[in-house]
Amino acid sequence: MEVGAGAVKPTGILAINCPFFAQSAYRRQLPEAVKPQQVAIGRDTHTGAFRTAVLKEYPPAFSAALAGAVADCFHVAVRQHNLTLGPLQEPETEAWLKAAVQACAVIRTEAPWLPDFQG
Amino acid sequence: MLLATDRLLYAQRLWEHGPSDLQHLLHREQALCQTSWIAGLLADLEWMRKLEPEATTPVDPDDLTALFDYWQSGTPEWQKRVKGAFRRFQKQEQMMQQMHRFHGQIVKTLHTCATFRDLPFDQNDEDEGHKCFCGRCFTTPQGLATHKRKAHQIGSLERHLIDGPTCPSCLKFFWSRQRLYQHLSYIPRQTKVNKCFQDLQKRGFRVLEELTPVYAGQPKGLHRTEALQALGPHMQPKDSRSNELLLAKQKLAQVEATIFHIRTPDDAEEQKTAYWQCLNAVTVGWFQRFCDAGFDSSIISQLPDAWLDVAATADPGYPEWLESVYIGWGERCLEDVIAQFEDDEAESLVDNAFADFIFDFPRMQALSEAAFLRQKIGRLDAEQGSLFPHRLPKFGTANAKERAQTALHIPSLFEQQDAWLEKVRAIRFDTIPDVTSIPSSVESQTTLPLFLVVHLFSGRRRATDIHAKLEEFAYGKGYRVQVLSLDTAVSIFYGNLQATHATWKFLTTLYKAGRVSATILGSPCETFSAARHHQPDDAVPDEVKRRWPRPLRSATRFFGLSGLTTRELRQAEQGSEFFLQGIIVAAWTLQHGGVYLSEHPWKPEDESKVSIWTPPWVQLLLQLPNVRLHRVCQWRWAREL
Repeated sequence: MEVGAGAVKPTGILAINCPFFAQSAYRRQLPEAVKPQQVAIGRDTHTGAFRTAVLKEYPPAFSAALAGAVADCFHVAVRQHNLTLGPLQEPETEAWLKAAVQACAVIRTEAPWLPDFQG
Repeated sequence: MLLATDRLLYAQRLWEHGPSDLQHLLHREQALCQTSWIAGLLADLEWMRKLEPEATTPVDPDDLTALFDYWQSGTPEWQKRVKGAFRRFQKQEQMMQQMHRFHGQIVKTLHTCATFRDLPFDQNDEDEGHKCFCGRCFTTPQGLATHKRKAHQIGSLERHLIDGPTCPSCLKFFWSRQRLYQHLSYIPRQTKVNKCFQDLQKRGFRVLEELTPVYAGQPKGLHRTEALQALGPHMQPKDSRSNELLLAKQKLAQVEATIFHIRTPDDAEEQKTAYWQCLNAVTVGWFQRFCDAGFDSSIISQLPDAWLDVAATADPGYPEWLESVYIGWGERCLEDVIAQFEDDEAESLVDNAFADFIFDFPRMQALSEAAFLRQKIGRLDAEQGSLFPHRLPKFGTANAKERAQTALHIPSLFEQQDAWLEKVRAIRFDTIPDVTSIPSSVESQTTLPLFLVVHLFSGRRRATDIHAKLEEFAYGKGYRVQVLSLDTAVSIFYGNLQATHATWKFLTTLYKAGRVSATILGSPCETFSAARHHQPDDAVPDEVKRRWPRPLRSATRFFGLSGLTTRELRQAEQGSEFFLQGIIVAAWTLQHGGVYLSEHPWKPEDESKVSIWTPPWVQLLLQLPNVRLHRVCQWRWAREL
């Protein structure tokens, strides 16, 4: 059942070279979304976890909105041939990039939410 | 700071083991002398008190009796406390040094693609030498100043006012140009204004190139203020800005006459409506051709000709009126027409094409000039009576009292962070970066453009995350994406984004080479969160209350409040580093092009609370037209709890 989000979570997005961010993002909003009345402050009385913890991950549609804004910019750049060719780097950097891309490709839904950093 | 630590450690030994005569002498010195040893000790105790927020027996510099008893008890705890305060101070300063380095890196990166006005001299830039805009580097500011004077003819702020040894404003004779320069550059610490400099600037005074010959010998033994007063004649009092204001107003009246007094046909309104309808139809027709041509952006070149054709049969007797019809259509109708396109690229193409189309119209030039003149008049009006920018007064070394105060003060970048933030906030762009293309490479198998997207602090990988969506959107669109989702939840090694780690070094290489096409950033908000201001309920156990997260920052103390524990300081430092790393990435994006999206909770209503959107670096970026801060509410994209 669709019951709305956990909290309103007003968010700022600083966008550079993304003139159509608002159009791209709002085109992908969910028409059936319901504005929640809660605020994400304090600890959950049942789990003891901070209420902000569950908001660390973007909702899928919000991920789609951000990705869509970037993809729209790529699409326009390709159509307008507004691209610059980045040079190849030292073999060590290219090897790191290849290994990092492979490491990032694995879906890890089972991984726990980690704290940002504990100092 | 080392002196303070040694003095604090020595004080205990003195009061524990030292002879009472020596203690008595120190008290007498304090009573008779402003720069006494105990005055220094009191300053050190005040410094230590700020660094010991959780001390069980806090230092009270106003009443030292309890402290003397404490020292005389011979407890080894004092040494631990002093050394602990010393380490905390070092930690604060190391953190601030690191922030200054990040700031230097940001400014240096932006300097490659932009220039600034009012860029403050940062003392911590000394490590990197004193650089001239031509690329040459000097080890001292004097070397840089000499180079600028000789190589670029850029002298001091007062150079254009100095002709001979007599001040043109107050008519005092100083025997040499150097002493006149001293007279004009000196800023009194009380008024903070050099009256002669301001007076000459106000009059628009400027010396001729040929300087009056002066006596070559340098007078010796003269005080700064010694001079011979000449009697006159004094210059007539006037403000050169008044003339400029008058001329600007006259020019504006002329320009407005050409704008408003134009000949119009008898049926101007009917003709205008007909033209606007034709222009609407022509533009919509072009969009249809654009779609039919497979969204080929090159056909935009046809649109200006089509707009011109609309008025091909117009009466040539009313050229200014016809121009006003076009401009009026752009102001009132074009927005509605292109809003129907629902294609971002087409909207942008038509908008830009129309701007280019009307740019050369004489009426458009006149409108631009009028807007410029109105702005100039507003500025001149606002500047009437205001002071011209000059030097800041120098404090701390002028006399014995100031020197004593300076000696007692322990300089701290951490404590002076608000002043530094204000200086950074004053920076303004002069010329702005204009790179809007997107860096890419070519996929070897398909030869399609390949975009490298870096998602910093991505969280764990999921089937519905940004990484997956980017790959989904790229499918079938004529390009490929290579996504780096970097977070410790993805990979402990590759996701470690600390500035000292290998991942950040490799990323730096890629960014500096212009390889990254887009960055999405969600830097940790833990230390910025407004939720830290929420107090626990009474039902919360005391043990939990003691560990309840406290606010670590405020709007004015962005890098950390006073009295943070070592652990909190470490958290604040890491959060600040991640924030400034994000700003560096933004600077690289402006330098090489590409897309940048940074997500973070919106500003709290209380402006005194910290927000990641209010520090000066974000405000600096927001001066640029291609940088926008959007406010969105994530619930609009959320479906489930």
